[in-house]
Amino acid sequence: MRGLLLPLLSGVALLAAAAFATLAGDAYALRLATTLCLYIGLASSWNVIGGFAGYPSFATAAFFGIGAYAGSVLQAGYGVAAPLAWLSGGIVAALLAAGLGYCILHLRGHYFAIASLVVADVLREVANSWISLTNGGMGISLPLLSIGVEDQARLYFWVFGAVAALSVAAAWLVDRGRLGFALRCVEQNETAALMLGVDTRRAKRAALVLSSLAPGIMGAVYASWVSYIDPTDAFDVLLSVKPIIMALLGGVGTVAGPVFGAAAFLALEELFWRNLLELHEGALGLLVVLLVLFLPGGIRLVRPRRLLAFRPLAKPGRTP
Amino acid sequence: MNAPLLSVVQAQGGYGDVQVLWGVDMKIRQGELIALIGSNGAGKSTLLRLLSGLVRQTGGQIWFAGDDLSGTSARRRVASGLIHVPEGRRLFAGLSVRDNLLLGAHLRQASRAELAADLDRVAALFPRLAERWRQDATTMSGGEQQMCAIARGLMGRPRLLMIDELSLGLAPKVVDQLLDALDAIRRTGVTLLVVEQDVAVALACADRAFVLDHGRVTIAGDASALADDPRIRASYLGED
Repeated sequence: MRGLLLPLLSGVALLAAAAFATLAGDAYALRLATTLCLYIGLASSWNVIGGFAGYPSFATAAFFGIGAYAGSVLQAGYGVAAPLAWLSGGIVAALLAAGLGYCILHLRGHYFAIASLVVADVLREVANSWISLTNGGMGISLPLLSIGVEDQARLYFWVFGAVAALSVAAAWLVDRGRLGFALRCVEQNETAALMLGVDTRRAKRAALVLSSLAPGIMGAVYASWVSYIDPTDAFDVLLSVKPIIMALLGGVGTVAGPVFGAAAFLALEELFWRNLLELHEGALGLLVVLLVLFLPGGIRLVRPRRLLAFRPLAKPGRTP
Repeated sequence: MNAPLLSVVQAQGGYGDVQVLWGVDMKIRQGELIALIGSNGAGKSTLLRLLSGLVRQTGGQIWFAGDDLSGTSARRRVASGLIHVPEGRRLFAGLSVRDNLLLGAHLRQASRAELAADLDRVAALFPRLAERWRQDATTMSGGEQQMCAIARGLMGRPRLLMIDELSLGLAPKVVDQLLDALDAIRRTGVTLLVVEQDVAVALACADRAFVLDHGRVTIAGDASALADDPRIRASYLGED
């Protein structure tokens, strides 16, 4: 029952946000809700590799950026319909993740983190230099949809919302299945997992590919949403850092943690940083330090547990 | 004479560019209890890791139950019944004793009834574990954790169980209990390869022993004969 409660709560929270945003008809609220869905998708996806498997991936920006570019090139260059281009963003990101997994998943800890961090930098330089395909630093302008501005805003909200819901659902399924079990073994003690015959390599690759799908799709949708991308925007390192903070904030390795963490992060971003224009990146750094020092288990440990029966962080998984 | 269960021929391996094993030869027959002894850094743990597929094999051959295991995955080796109880136990924190044990059986397509029967079997072997069924495995004493690690290995229905550093850091009374358990395990037909730093203990309980030195087997033979071997007495039993 507890297993069901979390996704249900997450779903209800998403629906409430959705209803609020669309019914209110307020452009600001709608934009916030859309950003929330984007954040939930990114954080929840990161959580599969970073939380369940304990592999601190900084590759989210790479997946997001390559998805954004795949979608943009297909739409602007080849006239592919938007939905197909968005899906292609996810597929291209997954292909990148599969290749990347093959190359760097044998690294552990800091080494893996650094290796995953540079991927976005490399791709940014490729996007900058491959002018014939990406238009280099000039960026790509995307065709606008032939519907009204408000309808567009609403459409993007629902698309981001659907992808976010799918990525939470995927995390939930992974958590309950054999893959989640294998990933938690990897997270706890990879060598012991190997000794018990867990196919850790396959599990990690699957986790990395899964964690790339939603960011890839969302990158492509994002490109359409803002109708223009350039390498700096698409491969922004903050896209890798923010999902980690959100997951830390809500509770790493839990299904609901990234959802609540994304909401909390967005609230902080709006309330705090809009008032600290000059210092907001400093505030981000400070937040990370405070989180690691005082709340390694996330904000869910602050409030009374009886209100929301979260699973203990240390629980590595169910046995088959 | 039966064909050996495990046959290691000129096996070489190590970590990256550092070669640790320089051509190990070893034959183990079904039902034997074998002690692997040697000084620190001789390559005992590396040999076990090589056998279980955790260390890359760079030369030689490993035959287990008639199959060439060279280059196969750790998963396949576990599935074929070659199971490693690692040094330091490596139990999963946050999981109960029972769940840790069930993890040991996760590659088997066993029914609930089979698993329950196997749990009863290891509980009979280690009654202390049965008392702590629901406790977080890593909060137990060192001896209990070692029992749990061995029991987890048994849950995989091993043909050959390799135990690294059986008695390291454990009280003599606990070591006696573990040795009794090894004897009981062996009587069920499971072959045992045990790395043990206490050479006197190792030679007292084993049928045969291999001495590893600088990545090679330098002495091999019946344990009782080795206990009287002047080289062993001088190097490992502290006698002149």
